[in-house]
Amino acid sequence: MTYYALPHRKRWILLLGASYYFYMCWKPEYIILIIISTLVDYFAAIGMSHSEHGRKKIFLGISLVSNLGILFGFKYFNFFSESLREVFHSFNLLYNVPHFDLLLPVGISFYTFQTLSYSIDVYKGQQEPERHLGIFALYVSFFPQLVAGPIERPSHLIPQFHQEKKFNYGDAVEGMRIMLWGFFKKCVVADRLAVYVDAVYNNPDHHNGLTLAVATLFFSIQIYCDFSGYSNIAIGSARVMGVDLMRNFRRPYFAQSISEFWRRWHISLSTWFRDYLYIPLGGNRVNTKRRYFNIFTVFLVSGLWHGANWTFVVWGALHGFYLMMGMLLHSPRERFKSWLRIEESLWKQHLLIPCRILFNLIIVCYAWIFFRANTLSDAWLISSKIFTEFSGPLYIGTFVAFANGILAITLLFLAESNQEYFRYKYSPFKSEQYLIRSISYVSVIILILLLGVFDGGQFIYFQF
Amino acid sequence: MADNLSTSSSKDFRHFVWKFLLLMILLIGVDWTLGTTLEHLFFTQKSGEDSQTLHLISDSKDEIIIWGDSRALHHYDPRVIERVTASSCYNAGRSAQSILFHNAIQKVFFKRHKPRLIVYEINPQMFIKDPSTYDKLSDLLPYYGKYSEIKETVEKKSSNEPLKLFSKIYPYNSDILSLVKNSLLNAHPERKGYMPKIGSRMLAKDLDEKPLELEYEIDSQLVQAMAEFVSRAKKENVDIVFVVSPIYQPKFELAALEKTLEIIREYKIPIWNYVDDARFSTDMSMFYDESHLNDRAAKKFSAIVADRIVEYLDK
Repeated sequence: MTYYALPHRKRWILLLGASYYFYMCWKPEYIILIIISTLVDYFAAIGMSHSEHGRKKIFLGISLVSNLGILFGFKYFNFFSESLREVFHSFNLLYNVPHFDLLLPVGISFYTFQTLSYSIDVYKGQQEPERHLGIFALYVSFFPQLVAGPIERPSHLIPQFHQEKKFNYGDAVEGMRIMLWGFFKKCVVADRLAVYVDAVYNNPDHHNGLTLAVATLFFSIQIYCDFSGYSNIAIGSARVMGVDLMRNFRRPYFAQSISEFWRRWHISLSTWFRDYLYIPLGGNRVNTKRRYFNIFTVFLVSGLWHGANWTFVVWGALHGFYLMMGMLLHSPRERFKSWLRIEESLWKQHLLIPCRILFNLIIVCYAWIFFRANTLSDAWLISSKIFTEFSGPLYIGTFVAFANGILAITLLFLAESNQEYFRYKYSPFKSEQYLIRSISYVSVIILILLLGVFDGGQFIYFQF
Repeated sequence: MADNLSTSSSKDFRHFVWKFLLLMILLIGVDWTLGTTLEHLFFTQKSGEDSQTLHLISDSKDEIIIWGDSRALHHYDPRVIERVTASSCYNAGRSAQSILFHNAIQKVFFKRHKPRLIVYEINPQMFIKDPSTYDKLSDLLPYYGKYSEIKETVEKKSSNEPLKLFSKIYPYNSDILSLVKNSLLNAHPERKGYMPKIGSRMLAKDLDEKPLELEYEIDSQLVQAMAEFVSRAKKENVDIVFVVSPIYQPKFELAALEKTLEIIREYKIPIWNYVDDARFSTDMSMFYDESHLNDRAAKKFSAIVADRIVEYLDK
């Protein structure tokens, strides 16, 4: 209400104040990092707009070095330093670089990438530099998506802060609806499954392969609901204020291949890597070997973006490997399909879809082992137990908690299947009848109150 | 504000507020109806740990009360203690609950009845600082509206709890399946609160990895709650003894227990320490898991404690 009550030209003050307050609630002093990034990129972009090619590069360099420098210092320094220490140690060499006890600033990877895209776009001439410092600061720190995305592009977000927004009933209702579904995914599904996943993954040596496989499947659903739930809340709260944020997820576990998975999972990050890393490396316009190298590099960097740990690097490498195998096996797969005459038979095509979804889910889940495991050795242990010790009883924990988890997954599956295959046809949220819509909203709130976990941890992606 | 909302959007805004209010009314109605039903189910459930706490608060007139966490719940069979001591006994142990919970329940219980003796099971790690200790206080939420004595403890969970408790459903969050189960399943009143652990799921390899010491912080709120628990009992002339029941081949537990004993010795209360009693702690067949005795061993241990209670009460 306060937002709409303020004159349009003053609203950025409220939003910027709210964004900085939101960030400072966690660790007040780290706001300085956002302010540094904002000032450097603001002046670098202005500098670029007044410069010739050579000086432009210098300004871009300043922006890249300062942003990536902060990111490296806070997120990666200790990781690389510790890795080097181990290498030196194995050769009996002295390594005297100290370990810094720094707390990782929440969302640093998200806002760094968002502000980098601005500098690069201005350098390329694809974006006019923003002259209004307040609006630019808001672009860097807009609170709904500051700590866990979606990673917005300047051409999409900045103009929206300049447009005069009037209260729109449709946007407000749709925004609240999206937020409600986000809360359901986070509280009812993600945090519920987290209880089981944490119990198993924190003691992998105490559990058999069956339990570890179930925990891995649960984690794949947990991380999807945790992250996409946050994205829903961010997108929904921005929509209430009339701001449109990009879609970040499109039911990724219905993907039939790894490349499709990445068109549905964390879309704002995968398109960022496509536009600012893959294409500059040559994209698809290079020979096959170089293309494989580019893909693998992008996924290694993507793994490292998620966290300073070898587990994330292996996770990224696995996805790079899957994608390369998908490309390598494309022709044999097509020959196999024509040999089976799949194109000629409708039922064979229908049968193929769930098989492809299932296979894709299995390999994605396998990669999640490395993402979730506390250490690389834990990941190997879990992976080997799944393949060698699959028998034995399934660990349930508390029966009621396990049953609540299964119930939550079932509700999610029904809702997502309806969205994927029936285009919301059976969604009571979209009913023509006001009463049915109201009952459905109330039912979801009641489900959150009944089944939600309110003592759960923070969002997983806040740490990235 | 008028300027900014006076265009067509002001009609939209009024429409939105009106619909939102209607939705809130519907929500409050459903919350109240469902919450009242769950409240009824909660206070009439026949089995489960909540039904035992309810029995303690509203019905128990027993002379000896066993208090503590899951090690109390699974290690003391009141029927054995009653046979030896000829005094009625009830097991008020609660899985994974800390002294914060027991202190709150004791306040409510003492308003109605004062037992002769409290046997408090000491867990070597009972004063460890762990945020989940406070999350588990949600087990007290259903009592919030009924017993003013527990309000202060519930607010230790979070200062927002009174706000969340505007919802009548919230106290029963995550409990619906267990409420239905506990309302349908038969209770075992003859066990008098005791819940046996049958068999053993001990793995020899679990023990190799046990460290000798763990680093942790003591939670001063837990220590404070224990002090309150003891002083309230003393004030009401209720005797207390502390018992440490056996752990299978204790390692880091011994170091942790030493720290805990340092704290509780100040209360000048008898401490009966069986943590590494050779009759139990070296025999794997006595344990369900490394820190819980199975039913057979619990009965044997209950008899040992019962003999000691007789000696203590005779003095």
